Amino acid sequence: MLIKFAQLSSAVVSKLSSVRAFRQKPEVLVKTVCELDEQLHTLKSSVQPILTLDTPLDAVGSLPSGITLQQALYLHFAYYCTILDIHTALTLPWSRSILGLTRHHPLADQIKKSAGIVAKTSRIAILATKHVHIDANTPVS
Amino acid sequence: MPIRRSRECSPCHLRIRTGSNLTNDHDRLAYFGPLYALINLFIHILQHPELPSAQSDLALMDIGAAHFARLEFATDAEISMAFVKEIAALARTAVRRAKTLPPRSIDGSLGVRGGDPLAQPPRHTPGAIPEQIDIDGFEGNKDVRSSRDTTFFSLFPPFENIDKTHLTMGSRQISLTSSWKTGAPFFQWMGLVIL
Repeated sequence: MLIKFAQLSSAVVSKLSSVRAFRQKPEVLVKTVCELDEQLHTLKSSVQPILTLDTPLDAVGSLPSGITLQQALYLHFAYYCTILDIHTALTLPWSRSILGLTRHHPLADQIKKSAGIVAKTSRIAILATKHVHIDANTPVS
Repeated sequence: MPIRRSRECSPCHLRIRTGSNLTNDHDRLAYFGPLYALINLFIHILQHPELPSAQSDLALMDIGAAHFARLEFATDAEISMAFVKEIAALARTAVRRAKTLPPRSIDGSLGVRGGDPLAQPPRHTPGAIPEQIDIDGFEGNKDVRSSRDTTFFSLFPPFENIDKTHLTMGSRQISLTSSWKTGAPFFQWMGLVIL
């Protein structure tokens, strides 16, 4: 599953984080964002029988048998980072300035929706840090 | 690859991998993921400091800063992120200002709240919080090169001076091209805009 997330994350980076991506018309970029979001949603649905990714991680109650807390956290953070990668293309102020998006732009609804998703995901990701166990094997930068 | 003894997990040794790619899946867990979330929540607060959710978002910023404080403790300050504490404090100041200042003018112009819309925005002194941070109202353009406009970033008090390759924050000068260790995606994006 992590491999699939990594593949999607790679696609997101190549399609949304390049200089070429920001030379496209905003409409094209928004369409790409929607497509990638759809792919992520499909991937999330495939994990759904095992783990619910879009709600805060409950280490006590919701972990299925056979998955450790560390593995669940890896999946959760892979999901969080991918969803942020996708939607911040439209919400970061400097991205908007490059694309010429304003609050009165016709695509404002999608931007507002993306901003809501980014805020919600950021909140859940920060709450999940309470489960991150820092020890000798914790990988950091 | 320095190996340091950790107070928290003594007698174990905390392995610190330096120079790795921050987008690596494993790095997402303790460092990149929380930092990414914190930066985005910080931006959300600056964009909407008047929302009812802003107060709980400030608490979440503190929770995120606490995670990095724990990381700093566990690594004997090998990994020290003053950056997250600073953005948490800045977000709190922005929300406090939004509560105390009158609502923004109807024209939504980039300027002082409630002031004369034709008046020039005041020059911000280092360390002072701007009267209004209006990210939504920032009107950009499609030309990447000409979007090297420092107006937006000069509204943020930590960024006193910006040129093509460096940011000056107080006495520190940060290279935009080698700032992954300190500012991660925030500065990466800034680098994309400015360079």
